Amino acid sequence: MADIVFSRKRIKGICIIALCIIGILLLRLSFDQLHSYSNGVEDLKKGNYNNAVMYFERVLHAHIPFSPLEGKAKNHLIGLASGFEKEREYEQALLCYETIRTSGYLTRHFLVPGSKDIPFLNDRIASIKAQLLVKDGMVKDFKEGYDQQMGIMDKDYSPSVFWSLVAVAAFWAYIGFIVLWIFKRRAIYACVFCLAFIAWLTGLYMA
Amino acid sequence: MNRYHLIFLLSFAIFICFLTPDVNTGDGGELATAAWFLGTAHPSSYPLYLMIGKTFTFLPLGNIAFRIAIVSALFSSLSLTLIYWLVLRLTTSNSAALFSVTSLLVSYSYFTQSVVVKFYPLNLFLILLLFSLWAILISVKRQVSSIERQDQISIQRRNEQLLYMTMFIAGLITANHHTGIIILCPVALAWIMAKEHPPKLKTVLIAIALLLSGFLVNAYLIFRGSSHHFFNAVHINNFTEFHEVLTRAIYGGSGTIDVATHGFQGIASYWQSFKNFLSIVTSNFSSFYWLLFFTGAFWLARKNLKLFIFMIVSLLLYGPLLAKLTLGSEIKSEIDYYIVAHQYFIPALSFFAVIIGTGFYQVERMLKAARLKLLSTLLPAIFAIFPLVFIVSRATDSNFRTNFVQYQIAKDTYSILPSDSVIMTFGDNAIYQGWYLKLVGRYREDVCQISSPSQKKIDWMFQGCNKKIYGSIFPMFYSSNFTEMVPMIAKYRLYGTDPVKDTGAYNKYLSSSTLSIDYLYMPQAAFVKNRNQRGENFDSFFRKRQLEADKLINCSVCLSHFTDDFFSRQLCSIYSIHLTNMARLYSDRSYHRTGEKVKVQIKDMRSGYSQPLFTVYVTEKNRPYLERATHISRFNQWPILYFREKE
Repeated sequence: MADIVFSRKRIKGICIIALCIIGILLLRLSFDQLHSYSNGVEDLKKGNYNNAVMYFERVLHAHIPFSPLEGKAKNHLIGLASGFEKEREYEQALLCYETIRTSGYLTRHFLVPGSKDIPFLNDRIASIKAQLLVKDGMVKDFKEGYDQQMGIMDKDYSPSVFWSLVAVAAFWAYIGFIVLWIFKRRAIYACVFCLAFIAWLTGLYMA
Repeated sequence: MNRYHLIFLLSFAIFICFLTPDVNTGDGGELATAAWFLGTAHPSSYPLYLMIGKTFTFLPLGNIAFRIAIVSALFSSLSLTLIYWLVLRLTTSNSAALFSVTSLLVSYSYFTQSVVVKFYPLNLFLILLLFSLWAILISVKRQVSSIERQDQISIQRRNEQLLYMTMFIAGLITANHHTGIIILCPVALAWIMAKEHPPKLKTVLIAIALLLSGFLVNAYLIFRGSSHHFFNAVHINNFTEFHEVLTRAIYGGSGTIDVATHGFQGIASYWQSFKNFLSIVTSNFSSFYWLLFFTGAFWLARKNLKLFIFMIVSLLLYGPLLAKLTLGSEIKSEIDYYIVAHQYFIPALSFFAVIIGTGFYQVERMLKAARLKLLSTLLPAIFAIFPLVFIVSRATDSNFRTNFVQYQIAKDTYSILPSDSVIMTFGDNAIYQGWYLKLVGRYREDVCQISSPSQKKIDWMFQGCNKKIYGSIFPMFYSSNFTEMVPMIAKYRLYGTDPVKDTGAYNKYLSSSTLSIDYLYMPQAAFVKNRNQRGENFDSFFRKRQLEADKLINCSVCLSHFTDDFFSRQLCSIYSIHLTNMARLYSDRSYHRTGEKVKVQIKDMRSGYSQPLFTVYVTEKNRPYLERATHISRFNQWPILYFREKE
């Protein structure tokens, strides 16, 4: 009974620590987002678009799920991109679209934040690049350039999320049950860490 | 919540406050990319670190590089908590323990390594775990000389657990940085000094099995290092390659086994190594701490000679001896300071911090013995937290939170390239951060990145230009026939982060011109046989691209980073080059010359390339560019590196 109480207390302590860690990270990222967003809006008002893009990108990189500032930053970037396209500043428009797209990929975890925007962004990016490639004589026509660019952007060579998770979970189970076995010496722990090791290798191979 | 939790959380909060917001210079981009793709990094590939890094990439907060940098902050905080626990156990004084922690936390090298993407904090934690456990074993040994049989069994079991944990952690260390293995020498000495009974055969066999269990984390290299996985800085397709990567044999004389066997030669350099080590400690802790160190060492020697020997041996091995292996000659360049002095010695600094904690305890005891009631309570408490004042220094030289230089330069390098370009990247900062941006961030996927072509390792070269993706767009770059590449190059599609040098390998084929922050490569005239292969007029294209690049890049990052990061300062010289080139572009009479002229010399600190001195006529249009170039140069020519200031 004392063991159970002790374990519960320890688990409670670990949970509190974990929550504090998350809290510290959220504080840091919230500050970063607020600071960058306000700088971005200020630069936008001054017409300093290059700086504005940089700051809005930082808002996206300081990703917090469901953060309203990220949506606003993204809208500003899309607004800038549309404006650049209208003024035929295609490379600056490209910079904005690529920035949003890259920010999604650099902040992905189980999924890509803002993944619903990816098809639209891919389309705009491919269109702009196709136009530029035609102009430079690198491709015969718009369709060839567009298809070429979409062909590159459609593929994702990242490891499988599922198998990566299996590898990560099994890895920690492997380490954890070895340590548990050292202190508790129960045969079941030895069995589990062997299984975890196999699962880890399987996850690594399949990912 | 107890004091250990508080120590951990407070130190963690401080590190997070200064944590790099994105990818940092050096290995950061490579480690982040390898962790994300579950790939391999440069030898010895650090599979333990990569698995932990991969775990953190699933955190839905911040970006991937930020999440992996959290690993550094986490293990640095855990290490500080461990040091607090150890010093408290040795001295029973909260103030002494706190003093050790605060002194180490604010020390330059420890602090900087805790806020960037790097594996040294994890290495330190594993070393400190073994150091602390064995230090406690030796320190309690004297207290258990006469005990009952039941307690003896319990002690035997505890010692077995310690042995098993030691072997398991030793195995894990082989899957991270190899300097971690050095701790096994003082641990073996501690075992001997503790006069432990020789273990039973069963215990030995289990210990070996646990060592192997830890070592088997390296199986990662075999399962993820093969050619058919998408990203691998090094490929491991057979046992020979596995051995070469694990032992760093790829680096020739700098491989682990070579350094361990030949590094001790040259008696004369022992003295220089010792001086270098003293210089590193004094830079991190100041001269005053030596007083506390000797006071603490003296007390330890009197209290428990074996413990004293254990600690001093650990310090000497990770201090002067490691300096002999890695920093055996006079430190002359910033590179020596920044890459070697700054990274390898944090275990030694940690041991030093433990001993100064015991010295602080002695001072505290003296105050209590002098019966200065209020002072003996107040002064230790104040001095225990006083070192935190030096966080202000860290906020000006290690404030990586403000450092976006590496990310922005990597991004700008690609932003200014025309569609469907190829860029050759040279040096870790261009290659690794390019991999991170292109492969993880999928930025400018139309650009093919070829890394250090002179390396001759095809798998390394084409990490950023995988044939699966670019084979149909740039088929000519996968053959070794230069003439097939000429038509594409003549259309201004080949760039580099370094110029083609007169004595370089490509001088026969290519020439280069500075274009904004990159170099435009052109085929030598002899290879351009067909006039139709030439693109639009060079001057017209050059001017157009330079003006376009000016709209796309952002130099302000080089005026807002509060770090003395050596590589960031180097990289910022590239923006000065761009600004100076813009100033030249706008120096024509049509831009209303002011009558002033300035002599300018461009030096690319990243590649070492220098242009001869030239004159720029100041106009209303180019004046802001010249001023900005000057500001960036001055801002990034800090007389620090922190270590240099101490000279």
